[in-house]
Amino acid sequence: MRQDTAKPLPHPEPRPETEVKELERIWATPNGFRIVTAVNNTVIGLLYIGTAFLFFLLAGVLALLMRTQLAVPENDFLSQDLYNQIFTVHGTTMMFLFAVPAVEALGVMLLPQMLAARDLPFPRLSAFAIWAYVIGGLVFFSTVFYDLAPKGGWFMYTPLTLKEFSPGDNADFWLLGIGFIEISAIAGAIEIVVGTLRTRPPGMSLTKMPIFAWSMLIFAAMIMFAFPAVILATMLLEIERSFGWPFFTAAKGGDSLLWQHLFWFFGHPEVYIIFLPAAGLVSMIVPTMAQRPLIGYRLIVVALIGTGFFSFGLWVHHMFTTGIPSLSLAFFSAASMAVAVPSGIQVFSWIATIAASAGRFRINTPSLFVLGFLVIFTIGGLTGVMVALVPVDFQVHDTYFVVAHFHYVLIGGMVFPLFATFYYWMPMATGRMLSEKVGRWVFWLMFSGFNIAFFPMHITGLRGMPRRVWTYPEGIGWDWLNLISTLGAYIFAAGVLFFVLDLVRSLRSGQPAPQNPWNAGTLEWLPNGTYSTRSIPYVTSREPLWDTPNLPAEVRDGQHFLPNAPTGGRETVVTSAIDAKPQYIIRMPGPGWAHVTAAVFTAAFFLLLTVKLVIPAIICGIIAIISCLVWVWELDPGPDKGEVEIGAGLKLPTYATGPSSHSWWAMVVLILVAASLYIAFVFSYLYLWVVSPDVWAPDGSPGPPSALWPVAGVCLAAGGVAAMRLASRKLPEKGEQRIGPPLLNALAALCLVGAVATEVAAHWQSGLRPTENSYGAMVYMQSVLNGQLAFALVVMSGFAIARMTVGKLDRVRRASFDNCAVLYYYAVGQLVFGLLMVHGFPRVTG
Amino acid sequence: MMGDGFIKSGQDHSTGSTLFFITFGPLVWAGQLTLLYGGHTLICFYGGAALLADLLVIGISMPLALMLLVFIARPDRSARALQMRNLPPTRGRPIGSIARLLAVLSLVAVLWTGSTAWLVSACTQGR
Repeated sequence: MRQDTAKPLPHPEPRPETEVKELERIWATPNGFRIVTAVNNTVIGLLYIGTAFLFFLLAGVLALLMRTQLAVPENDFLSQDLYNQIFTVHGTTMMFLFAVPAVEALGVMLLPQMLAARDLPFPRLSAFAIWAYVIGGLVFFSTVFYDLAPKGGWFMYTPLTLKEFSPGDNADFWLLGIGFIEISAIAGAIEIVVGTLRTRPPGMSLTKMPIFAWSMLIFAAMIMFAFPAVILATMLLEIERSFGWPFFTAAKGGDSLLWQHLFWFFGHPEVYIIFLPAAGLVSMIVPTMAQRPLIGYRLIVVALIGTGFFSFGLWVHHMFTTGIPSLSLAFFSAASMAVAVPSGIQVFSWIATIAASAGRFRINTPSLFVLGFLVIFTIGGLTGVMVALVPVDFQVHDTYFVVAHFHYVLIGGMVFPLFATFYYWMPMATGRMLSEKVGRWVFWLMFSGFNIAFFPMHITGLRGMPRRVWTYPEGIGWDWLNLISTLGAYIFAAGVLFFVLDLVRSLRSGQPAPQNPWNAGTLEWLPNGTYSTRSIPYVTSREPLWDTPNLPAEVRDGQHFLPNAPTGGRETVVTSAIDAKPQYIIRMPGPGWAHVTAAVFTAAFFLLLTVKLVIPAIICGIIAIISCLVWVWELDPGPDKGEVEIGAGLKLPTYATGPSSHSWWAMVVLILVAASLYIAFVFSYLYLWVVSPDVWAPDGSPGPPSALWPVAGVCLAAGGVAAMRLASRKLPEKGEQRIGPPLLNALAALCLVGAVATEVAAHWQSGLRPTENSYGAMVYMQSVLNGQLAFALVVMSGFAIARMTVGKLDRVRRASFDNCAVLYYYAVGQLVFGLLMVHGFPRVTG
Repeated sequence: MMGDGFIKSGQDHSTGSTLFFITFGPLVWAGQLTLLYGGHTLICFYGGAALLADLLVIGISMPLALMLLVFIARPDRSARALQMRNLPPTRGRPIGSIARLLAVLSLVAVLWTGSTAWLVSACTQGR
């Protein structure tokens, strides 16, 4: 550690205290019931993590019910049907409602503080994602209380989940509920990608970024590419269940394994989506406890990126026993073992950092949880290499060995780091400490309970006990192992209960925490309030608090950048993605109702749709769209504030459009999500052709429509692009009213709708029907996906036209139009590609 | 805009090029996975000989492995050849070493997974 006292400051002179008062006023948290309108990350982040933890407790109770049922043979504590619902809701809740939201919550809560940003760039988007998750999650979980919970396992394999074998609405609750929550996760991911890349403090280049920020960036990128696959899968299955389009019905050319491919293309990266942020947290805690910089920062970044990529090449190892060619088995087996290399790099870096601390490594509750994580996760990793071996996988597939393996990976790799996080960052989030004495009890109960519960399951599995059985006969060697597992589960639960009690005690009367109780080196330990830090520091190293001991005082006294609120509202500095050079001031919205009502009615739309109340669902959907429009109406404030000085004579604009603006970045991220979803569709189309070439299309099916139809569609799309480009060039000057640009924008939207309608009409008039066979279903599904984009663009175009009409959109103030245009160009590209595939492929292969 | 002493003057480095440079190795590996898995599926679908599938694995893996070797040896030159413009300084800097190490890791993955072609016959059902 060094002390750099000669460094100049952006504001060398003391700043007036009135600036702090103004910041407090601007960033004040709403009182009373209005707190639901809050958007500040310090408030909604706590709500987010609190809700995720609640789901952890609820799913944990379900786990205890299952363990109680399995404690002794031939038990009838739970009925078979209820047991099926419980293990499905347990797995689904842990994966979708606890693990992913918990790490996303930590991102929302910690990233702005770690990056010394006032907030993430889209605070209302975060709040929308969180409220959507809270409402959707609670409704989904509650289905277990009234016999409406899904029963197909957390992976909902077809054909078991097809209408024929799973009648009723139970499976629909999973499909629509989880699909909806995935949308919430994607909204959070967009926020995290743009926030991490664009709201870092000046000087914090990509390679000075804290490891947690790296891990969250990769986490969010993985969500962007993994979640669309399962969103498509849920769409296909729900459409098959509701309308009879046979994507997964073998008799009509569909294939049940398509579900497995799509699900595991999401499901395997999901494990790393959960693990990587947890590893990022560990990479923050270990150096602090060792009081030295992390050994192998670059190697850990390499490991994070490598793991993020490689995790997408492993999905087939969940399908080794489904009957696939030998070369595929070998290929994915090798890839599954290869991914252990980057994971191993991280483990060795942490061990090296601990070892290099020369005895300074502090043993306290956070570090105990980190050490527990290292032990448990390494064991889980080793059994992971075992099940990557195809012959071993054949033996233990669907047995309790696999249950033991993935609990070692997930609880070891995520829950233990999460508890370390609770103890480590609690002082920053609440200003209070958790009890060290109780913390050690919590750790030892959880650590011992976990191993007592899950280690015997390796043996139970090797002795042949299958997963998901609700009871078992006595005397086949499973009895005492199950009893021990159940005892361990209760010991683990006792540890969690102790933690909850200590948490409540701490929040009511906990010991006030010092500013930086662990003497950490990263920015989240700077003095901060609801506005984050008083001023935004100029960063020159990875551990700025260690390298500049005066930094907290300098930041608190407003001697760094943006010590005030020059635009009079909520704002932060947007920097360039690579070098973190200040680019402009982003003006952010404050509390409001629109995003809350949007979340409530979006949730209502999905849930009403689940129970087939279509008209009320549509009404709720319309209200949700109107709420979104109200919400975004004030998001494009325009350049009226001019330039403002943020320190060191640096003057920044208060408005940006085009590729440098944060909103454009968000739209590009959204387009990448849409493209991932479409690629998953293309894969599905080709996959069904490969497995059922004899029904592609089946004998007697109408031939492809005349080529004039797709040509007409392409012409319409091209016309739309021309209209959009012309509208862009003809946007009015400020205060000027022109009729041309709104008309051109409307024309472009109509052209796109026309192109989609032409495509549907082409196949309909040829006699092809989506319910006849999987070929027809896939052909029409392509129009469903394009229709979605066309619908979004109609709404966005209407919004842009309305803003042009009232003088809020012009040649300079044009973010709404630019976002609409960039999505439009993507939509046309997707449509043209789809036309080529749907009309060209059958002609080439037929 | 001023900010002398804090902000280095000059053009911002390209985000797209920098991210492409850093992730070049894993992208090559992703290309190998897509081409091999897709190509292999097609060959088996059309009833192609196992030898053809093996040749595909070799024909794809070897050039990609070579590409990675060149990138590891000469990252700057490779970046120029691949039209990665406006990169931040990479020689001896963290970004350069991260990109190289990722390429090394990807090379291991490409060779490891590609080598499966030597060990098993293609197109036969695994069970």
